[in-house]
Amino acid sequence: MTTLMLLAWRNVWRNPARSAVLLLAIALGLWAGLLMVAVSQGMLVQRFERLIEQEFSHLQVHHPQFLTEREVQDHLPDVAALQHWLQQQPELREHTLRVLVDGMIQSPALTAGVEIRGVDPQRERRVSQLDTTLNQGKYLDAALRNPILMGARLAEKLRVRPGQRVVLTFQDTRQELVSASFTLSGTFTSLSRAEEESRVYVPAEVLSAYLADQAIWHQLAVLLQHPDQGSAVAARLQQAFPQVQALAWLELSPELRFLTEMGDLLTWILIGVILLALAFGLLNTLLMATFERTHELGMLLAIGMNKRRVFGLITLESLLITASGALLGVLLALLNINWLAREGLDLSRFGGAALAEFGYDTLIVPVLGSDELLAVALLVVLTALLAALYPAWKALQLNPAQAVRN
Amino acid sequence: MAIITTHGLSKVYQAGKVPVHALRDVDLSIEEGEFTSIVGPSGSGKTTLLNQLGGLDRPSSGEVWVDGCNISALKDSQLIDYRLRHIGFIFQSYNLLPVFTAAENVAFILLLQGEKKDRIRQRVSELLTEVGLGDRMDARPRELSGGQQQRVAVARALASRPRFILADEPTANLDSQSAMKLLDIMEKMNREHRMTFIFSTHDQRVIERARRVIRMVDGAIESDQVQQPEPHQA
Ligand SMILES: Nc1ncnc2c1ncn2[C@@H]1O[C@H](COP(=O)(O)OP(=O)(O)OP(=O)(O)O)[C@@H](O)[C@H]1O
Ligand SMILES: [Mg+2]
Repeated sequence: MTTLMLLAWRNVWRNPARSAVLLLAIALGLWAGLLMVAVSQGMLVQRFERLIEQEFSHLQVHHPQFLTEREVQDHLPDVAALQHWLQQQPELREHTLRVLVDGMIQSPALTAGVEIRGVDPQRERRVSQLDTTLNQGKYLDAALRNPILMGARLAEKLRVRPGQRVVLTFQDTRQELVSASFTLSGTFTSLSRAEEESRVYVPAEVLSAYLADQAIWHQLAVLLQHPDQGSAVAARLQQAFPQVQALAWLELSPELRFLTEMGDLLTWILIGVILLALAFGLLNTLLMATFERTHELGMLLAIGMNKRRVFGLITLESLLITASGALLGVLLALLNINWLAREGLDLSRFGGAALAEFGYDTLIVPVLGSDELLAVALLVVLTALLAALYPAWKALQLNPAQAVRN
Repeated sequence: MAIITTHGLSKVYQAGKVPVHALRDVDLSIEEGEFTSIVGPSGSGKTTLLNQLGGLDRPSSGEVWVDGCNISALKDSQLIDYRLRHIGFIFQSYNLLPVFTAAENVAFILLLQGEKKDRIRQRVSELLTEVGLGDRMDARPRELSGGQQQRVAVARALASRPRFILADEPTANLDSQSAMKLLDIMEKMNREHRMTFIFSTHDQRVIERARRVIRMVDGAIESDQVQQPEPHQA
């Protein structure tokens, strides 16, 4: 009945100040809540993507002992067959091979422990976007004999600049110490302080030549079309190559798993808190509005408006004010999030530098999924209905004979 | 034939520990077309009686029969529907929805009855014209005088085509001129539509307009007289 809707709408605006306050509270609550959800989601998504890019890819293949022992001689068997197999998988996006060895780095100023990564410069940039993180010098410069790339912090500690030399020392596969001189090609920055202080990149063929007589590889890193495909492809690969160990990012990184699960939980806790506040605000206003209208509601029951309709009236009032507020709030949030997504939210201006220490981006691009938005909309409606139950029930308890008495 | 009959109608309210006998064993019969006033001192049970006749409250004992139907035996939901279709109400105040215009207030009861929209418009305008508010149809209650508001209530009560109209002190908040005007309208409706009116009042001038006066004292009918109403000199 459209008349009931009209009546409900006009009733909502009977006390314009009170309704406006409630409406704005709903709008602001939703705006703030959705914004917080979007920022935290954005933060987690970025962290997730960074970890995938720089660390884990979607799936990695190692010698079965490599991850626990990290011995140089535990290198990957059947590399050509593995690569061939991968190329036939429809999910494959990119893959690259790495030589991994731990060692020492030495400059006139200092000696430090380092994790040395031998990479295929062309493939590496496609998997980890390593070349985009340079802040000085060039990416593994082919013109240099033995170029090396290191974290900016490490270069600072060693007091070396591009063009200057450092010495790497490490064990080869025969367990003999090898030293070789490298020329600093460039330095990179990383969200992870540890990485920036202890990781160096050199061309794989150079490193490999020092380690063994033939080319060896320790890690095969794979990017797929979608992160969710990691486990399935890993399982298939494992089956085809039982002699290696294939792990998806979920298994490689407890942090990544935690991030995805935590992100969801955080979102729903936030939304839950906002809805709870909304429910109490609504309940309070609706109860007040119902008590103030005892005579009027009694009159309606007296002249023959049935309980279903009275119930509907109060529920509609709740829905109308909530929907108006929610619409405004969602609109504000979407505009705001869109704008922030274009500009990026620079948390470093708000003292977010500490985040960087933990490996989080300070420039956040907020994201809000349409699934989440829809779920929030439904929950808001549900809350409005639930909050209306008690006041509506109260109204139905009115005895019309009492209510119409003066 | 009587529209309304009551048998041994009693209502006892429990005010704290003391029971209050608001109605004591009332036997009453109202015929179609009556223009009847219920009078008596404050607390004598006028409102209680009207509420019983209108099915707004349930008796402690006894029965109310309307058109051969024992409304005391109806379930709550049936009773609401009964009131909607068969009984018109005019209260002393809080008659109208403040957010609706005069026309919307009258139309509302027809919508509740499930009447078609195009028929409603016609009927609302006829009725409001009949109560002298043809030019105030779009006014909200707060833009109308007390007397005008009561006339809208009369129009609404009549709109639902009830068997009878109950009015509890409809003139209590009105100055005497507005009160007489309201009585004129009720009388006209009674005459022209043969609508049965039962109204309570304290006002001697209103009592004089009734054709039957039921006097209550202490929850019981003390006297019940048919009288020649005073013709109203406009
Ligand atoms: N809900 C109630 N609880 C207790 N007592 C009540 C209740 N309603 C009415 N009464 C009592 O019942 C008696 C009859 O009340 P009622 O309102 O019918 O009188 P009335 O004739 O309409 O009076 P008035 O002229 O003041 O309107 C009074 O003594 C009143 O106090
Ligand atoms: Mg009374």
